[in-house]
Amino acid sequence: MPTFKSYITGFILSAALTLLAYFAVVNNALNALLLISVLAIAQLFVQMIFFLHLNKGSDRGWNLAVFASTVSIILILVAGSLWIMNHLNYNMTGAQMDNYMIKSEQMMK
Amino acid sequence: MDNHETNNKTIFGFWVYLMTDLIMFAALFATYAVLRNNTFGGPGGEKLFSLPLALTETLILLTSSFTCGLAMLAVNRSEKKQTLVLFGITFLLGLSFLGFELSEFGKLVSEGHTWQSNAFLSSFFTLVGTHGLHITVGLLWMAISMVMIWKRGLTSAVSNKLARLALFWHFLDIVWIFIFTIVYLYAHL
Repeated sequence: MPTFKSYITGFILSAALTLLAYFAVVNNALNALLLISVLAIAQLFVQMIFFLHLNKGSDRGWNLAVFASTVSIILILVAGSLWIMNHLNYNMTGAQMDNYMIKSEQMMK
Repeated sequence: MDNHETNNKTIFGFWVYLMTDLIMFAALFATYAVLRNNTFGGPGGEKLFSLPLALTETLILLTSSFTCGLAMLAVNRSEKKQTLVLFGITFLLGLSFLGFELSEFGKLVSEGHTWQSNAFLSSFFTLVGTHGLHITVGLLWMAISMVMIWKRGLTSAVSNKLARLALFWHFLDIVWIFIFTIVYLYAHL
C-alpha cells in the first residue's frame, strides 16, 4: 500500500545505505567489497518494497514472479560470462603457457 | 478505483519490458566486469572516477525517485497541482543528474579518455551512457507528461500512463545503485 510513510522510510533507508557504502570505501573499511555488495542488494530490496511496492502479499505477485525469473537469467548470464572469460586459456599447454597460467591465476586470487 | 494499483495488463506489460531492459543492463555490466582492467596501459577507474561526484549523482537521483513516488501519491488523491509540482521537482533533479554526468563525460573526453581509448573505457561509456540515455528519454517523457496533465487533468487514462512513467523512473534509480557500486565504488577499493 503506497503511503507517504512508506516513501519516506524507503528514502531514508536508501540514503543511509548509500552513505554507509560510500564511507566504507572512502575509509578503507575491512571487507569493503563484501560490505558494499551486501549494501547494494539491501538497497535493491528497500527500493523494491518501499518504492515499487513489490511485496509478496500485494497484487504485484505476478510482477515479483517475472522479476524472480529475470534475476535467474541475469545470474546465469553474468556468472557464466565471468567464468568463461576468466578461463579462456584453460586448455593451453606448454611451459611458457603454464607459467602464464600460474601468473594469471595468482592475479585472479 | 485505486489508480495506483497495478493489477492491469498495460502496467504489467510495461513491467515485463523493464525486465528485458534489466537483462540488457546485466549484459553491459558483465561486459564491464570482464573488461574493467583492460586499460591498454592507461589509467583505470581509481584515477578517473571521482567518488564525491558519484555520491552527489546518486543522492540526487535517489531524491528524484522519492519525489516521483510522492507525485504518484498526489495522482492517487487527484491533486493536479501537487502532481505537477512534484513531477516538476523530479524533472529538475533528473536534469541536474544528467548535467553532472555530462560534465563528467566531457571532462574525461577532454583529458583524452575517450570511448575509443581502450576496452575499459568503451565498456564504461557504454554502460553508464546507456543509463544516461534512459534518463534522457525519461526526462522527455516526464516533460510531455506534465503538459498532458496540465491539458487533460488526472483522468484514469492519464494516471495509468503516469504509473508507467513512475515505474520507469524507479527502475532507473535501482539500476544506478548498481552502477554506483560496481563501477564507482569497486574502482576505489
